[in-house]
Amino acid sequence: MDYTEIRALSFADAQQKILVDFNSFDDVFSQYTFLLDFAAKLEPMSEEDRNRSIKVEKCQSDAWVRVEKQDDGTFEVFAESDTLIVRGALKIMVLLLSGRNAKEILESNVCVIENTDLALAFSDERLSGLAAIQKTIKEQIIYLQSKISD
Amino acid sequence: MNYQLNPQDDTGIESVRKDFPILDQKVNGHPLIYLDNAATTQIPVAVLNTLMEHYQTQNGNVHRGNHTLSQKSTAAFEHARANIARHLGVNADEVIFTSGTTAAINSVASSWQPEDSECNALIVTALEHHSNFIPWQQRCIREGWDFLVCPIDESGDIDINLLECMLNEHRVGMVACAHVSNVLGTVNPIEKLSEVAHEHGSLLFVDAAQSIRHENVDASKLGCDFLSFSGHKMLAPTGIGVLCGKEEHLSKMSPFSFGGEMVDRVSSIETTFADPPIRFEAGTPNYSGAIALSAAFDYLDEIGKDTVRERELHLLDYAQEKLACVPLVRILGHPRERAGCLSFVVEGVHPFDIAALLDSLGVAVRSGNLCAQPLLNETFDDRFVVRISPAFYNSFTEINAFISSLECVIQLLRG
Repeated sequence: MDYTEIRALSFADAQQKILVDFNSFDDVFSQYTFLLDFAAKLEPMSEEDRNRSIKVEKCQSDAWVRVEKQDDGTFEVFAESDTLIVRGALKIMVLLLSGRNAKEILESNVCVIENTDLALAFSDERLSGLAAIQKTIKEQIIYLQSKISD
Repeated sequence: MNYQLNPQDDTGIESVRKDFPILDQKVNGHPLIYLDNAATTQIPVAVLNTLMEHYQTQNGNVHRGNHTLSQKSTAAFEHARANIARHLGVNADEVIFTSGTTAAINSVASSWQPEDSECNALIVTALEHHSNFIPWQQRCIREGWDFLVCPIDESGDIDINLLECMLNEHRVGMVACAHVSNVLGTVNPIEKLSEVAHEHGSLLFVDAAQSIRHENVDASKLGCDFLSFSGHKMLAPTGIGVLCGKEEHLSKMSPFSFGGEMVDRVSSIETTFADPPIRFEAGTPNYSGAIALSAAFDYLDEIGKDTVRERELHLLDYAQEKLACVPLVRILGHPRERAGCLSFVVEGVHPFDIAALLDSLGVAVRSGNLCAQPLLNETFDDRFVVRISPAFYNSFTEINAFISSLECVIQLLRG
């Protein structure tokens, strides 16, 4: 998989590209394998960075997310989890949201997993965990924006 | 039907599996291998048919009407109570229907009063499910009593010497313990525990949720004062369970909920209550669930309770032997006697990832803290585990397939 140019696409096109790639695999195990490829490409977060991040605790797994504003007004998303499957889902969020401005991120809805066969394999709890992580990212952006306004 | 199921191999398994049509399906393109029977069991056609026949031919609210359907329904309900009591080795009046184990434990934990006015402690064991831990803990908080947790040794067995020390040092009203652990599969020596508890003036409450399907749960032989279990752990529907209590204790207990049918006389001045078990069954009981539960006991009789027990032990032993050979796998505990389930972790791999990927290959296992955080966090230092819990309708072939799938998953996750 090569997503080096994904930031050049609109959010919707970028999400569609990943979704098409997922759905080129026609069984759940292969889709999981593909998701684990994303997990492997997520930059590990140091202990120090985890402490600076927001921890999202959901049943059976922990996740940490942090958003940083760049000089050009866009945001970078950093994330980590103790389970590989959630790491994979986080890498997709990082790919889709990083390098975008506040408006784009706040209007976005990352829903790749929900539109693959993995949706059934993911429990409702797991899917709501991903939603909570996305909400946390947006809340951080709103907070960072308000700090700039101050 | 003559099943002739062999406990030690898969001879006769097809005739049993035909009774469980749910098992004959593909999940994520793979044949379903259901190894989560400690969470809930599947229901055989015989039990489903009993339920359907009840609703098609005799459904009427129980203990309330003079009409024929109500009388038929009441007779079937009370027959179910008597049949279940016979299986438990107790009198029918000692069988109270509840919504499940959790409700049964909460009822006693809130309503039972110790005879010893100087009671100052309750004991649970480190093996308990949250259901048999929190209700007693909360009672202690309310009463200002000590809440004592009897530790287990490194094998996963209760340390009876320590239990005796606790009983010597406190005025303990109740010892609450699982018959079989939902994490380690430890089979506790209930008869011995009853003896020890009673010698020290304490009662014994047994959570039989994980043993009712495959162990000999004869409350009178076990010697316990209270015992509870859920129907859905033994081939019956959800929403039905049993609290079994000795008459001498039940007769002194106040109702834990109030409503229709559980009363003697009601006036604006006062209310008097019916005798047990009706006193403890406020409102319309889950009589159809009770009838189905009774049918589940009969079905297990048909298979043969000894066959069920022996076969499940062989399946679990076989799984344990195979798992022990999988690199990086660590099985939790090695109790003197294990039944029903076992839990394991794989070094460097999160249990959730294992369970999710096994599911993608059609294998249903449980992962998580198994509602036993004190045991996992305070005794084993493992926040989460993977658990397998085969039932008699599983096959040795399925255990082999599970092991192959697990090896494949570990290889993928370890990279």
